[in-house]
Amino acid sequence: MSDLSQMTNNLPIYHAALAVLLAMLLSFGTVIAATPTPAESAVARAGQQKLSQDDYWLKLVHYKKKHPGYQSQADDTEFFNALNGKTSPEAELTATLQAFYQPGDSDDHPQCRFPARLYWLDRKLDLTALGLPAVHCNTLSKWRQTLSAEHATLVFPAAYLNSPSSMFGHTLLRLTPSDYRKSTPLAAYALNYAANADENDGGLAYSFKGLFGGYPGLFSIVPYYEKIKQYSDIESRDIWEYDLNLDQAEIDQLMRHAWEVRHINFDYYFLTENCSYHVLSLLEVARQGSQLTGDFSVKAIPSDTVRAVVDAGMADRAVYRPATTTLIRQHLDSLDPSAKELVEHLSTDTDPASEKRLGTVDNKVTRSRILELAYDYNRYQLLHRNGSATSASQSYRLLAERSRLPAGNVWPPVQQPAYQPEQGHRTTRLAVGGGSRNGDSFLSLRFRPAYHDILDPLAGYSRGSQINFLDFRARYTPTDNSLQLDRFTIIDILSLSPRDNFFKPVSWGIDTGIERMMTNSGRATGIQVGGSSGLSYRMGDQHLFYLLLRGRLKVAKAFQDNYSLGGGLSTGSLFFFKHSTAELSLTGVRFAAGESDTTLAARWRQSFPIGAQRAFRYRLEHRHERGNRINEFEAMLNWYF
Amino acid sequence: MKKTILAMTILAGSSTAFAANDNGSGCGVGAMIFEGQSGVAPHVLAATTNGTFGNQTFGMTSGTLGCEVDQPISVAAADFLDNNMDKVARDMATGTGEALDTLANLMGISAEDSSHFKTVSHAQFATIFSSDSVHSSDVISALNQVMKQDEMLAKYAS
Repeated sequence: MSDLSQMTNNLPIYHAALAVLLAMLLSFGTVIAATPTPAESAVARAGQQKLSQDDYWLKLVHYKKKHPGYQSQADDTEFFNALNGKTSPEAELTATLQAFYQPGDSDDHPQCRFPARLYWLDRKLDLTALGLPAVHCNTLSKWRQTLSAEHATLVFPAAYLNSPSSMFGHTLLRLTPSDYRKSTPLAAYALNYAANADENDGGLAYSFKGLFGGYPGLFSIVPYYEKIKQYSDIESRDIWEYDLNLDQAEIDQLMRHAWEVRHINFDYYFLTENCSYHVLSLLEVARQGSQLTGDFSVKAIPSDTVRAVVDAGMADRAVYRPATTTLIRQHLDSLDPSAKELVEHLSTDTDPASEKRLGTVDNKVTRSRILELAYDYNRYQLLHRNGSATSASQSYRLLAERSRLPAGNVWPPVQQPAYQPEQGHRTTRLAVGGGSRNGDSFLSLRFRPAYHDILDPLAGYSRGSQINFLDFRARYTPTDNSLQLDRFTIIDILSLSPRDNFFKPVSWGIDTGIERMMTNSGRATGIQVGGSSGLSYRMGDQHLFYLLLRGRLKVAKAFQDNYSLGGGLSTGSLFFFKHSTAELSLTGVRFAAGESDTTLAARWRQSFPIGAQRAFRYRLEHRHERGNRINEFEAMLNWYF
Repeated sequence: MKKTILAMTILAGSSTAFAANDNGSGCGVGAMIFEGQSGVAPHVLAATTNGTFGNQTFGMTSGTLGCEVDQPISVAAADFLDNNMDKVARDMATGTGEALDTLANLMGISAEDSSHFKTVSHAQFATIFSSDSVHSSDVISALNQVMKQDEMLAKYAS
């Protein structure tokens, strides 16, 4: 009992001791909280500097503003350290810093997976001083050493109408090791971003998925000579190579970031997040403070992105690399007709008569030219027309013969187009104007987001090719106070490639859209689809003649049986004058199925560029259509932006 | 140097790698000089869609190419020759051109010696490319022989 009373008496002291102990424990606890781990210090520093909102951090993780916050364009959990990294720059920054402090020393350590982030964060936060563990990234080091990239070149293979995904052109980066290598760029590497398409998909599925993000987009590295084979030899596309003025530090950061995104899926969208867009996003990381992707959230047309890089002062000069066929055509132009004939005969097979004639060509340069061209044309045929073994052995004979003539280049310098692609018109076009239809005047408005039609200013584009994409035309007629959608073209492609003795391309066109059309019972809005195929020829330097077979389907309720299907002919000429481009065309279509009609049209159009980004054009047209005779005149001012 | 070149070839895109492995005979023997058609079909496929069909890799392919076999010229040079036979042959026949410059570069031939290399390969075209059916391995050994017999180029031969 006494013990108990004693205890009870001592209770205040016991309480006091407990309180002291608690206080000590608590203060000890605060001491622990006051000594954060290195990772926590790094996170805290990053918070003080507001790094998660830093423009460069947003670029490194490919964040774009998306109300109410951000979203990264990377569609791959591997790219994020935080679970909500795709939408939270802050969470991703914290998780990235914590990941860098993880124990371990292997190639899959976050330090090795995100070297560009590591480099930048270390510079900003001095992570090394904050006890960052040293990690040896052997695979990464080996990869970088192997590439030894010292120069970067923006490569732009021009438009390729025959491939839906390359219609507007393509861009990639070439990485070149040293100055000596730079003079032999075939040995360099190409860093390419492309849709990882499914081999089993047909053209239509391909186009659809390509447009709407149905394919993963992936980066790849291949030898540059493979790209040359693809673009110059097989697809006959001229290439422009823009040397970028990135310094070694910028190249290094480019390579680190390329490593970060190497297996990362960014869904591929044909118009927006495409090859060209991601080349820009890499360059934004390479050069801090550069703003390149901002203007391309709606569409990234390769030639526009090249212009953005040039305008940002990143490119010094462009080197023109003509396609194999371009070069053959130029070389052929330097020969007289009898020499050309020899080239043609010698290229295919052994021909004693031609060889004898070649023997009579005294000029060694001319003889060399004939042999080289015959070889080049022979190779072209082998590649494009499944040549026979005979012509393959002819290749060898031609070269052996050539090697017996003096060494050296026998050709005049390559003729370069007067304008580089980025010097041409921009691809969005707005036009306003007016005209008259059978005496009724009207005002017209036209808007087209992409890309180029045959009458648009030619500088920087190739002759006779056209891609109008989402071309919208409206017309206001004051007499009846009506505003009408005249036509909405979804896509309108025309490729007029001239034929000669050596090259026999087919000219073709497709177009589809919604338009106000004539029917036997008045005007109506309907859907139309058209296609054409035929031949075109160059007549001198300024004139291209074409003849096309046409098919056309029109669908509208107002037609008898709801449709009208016909076929016919279209012939015309393009004139490339010094200060303008013009077209004269005659078209006749017999609509035989559904609602019948014979439509005849004659048209003259001419366009005058005013500087690089404006043009004036007018059109005169006479048509017989569904029992009407129509005379129409229209003049418009065009702005390109 | 040798190691770098080996690594480069490892990195040099898998089309070569697959070709070499398919033949099961190491590199430098894959291509016949004028078999122009081979490999065109897949190229055209890739070209018309501009896609990559999975066999384009980003960097290191795992494993080796079977290229460690003794070769008189560097693996990178052999690899380049393998893939660009028709262009190298054309350039040797004319004694000038980008493919020949590249080959000289990959063979480690100095800038000073490269014009002599071009002259010699032009003069010896028929020796280096002895027929229309030579394989790149034949070309490599013939080229090596030619260089051995040349005072200036012997140092690059083995």
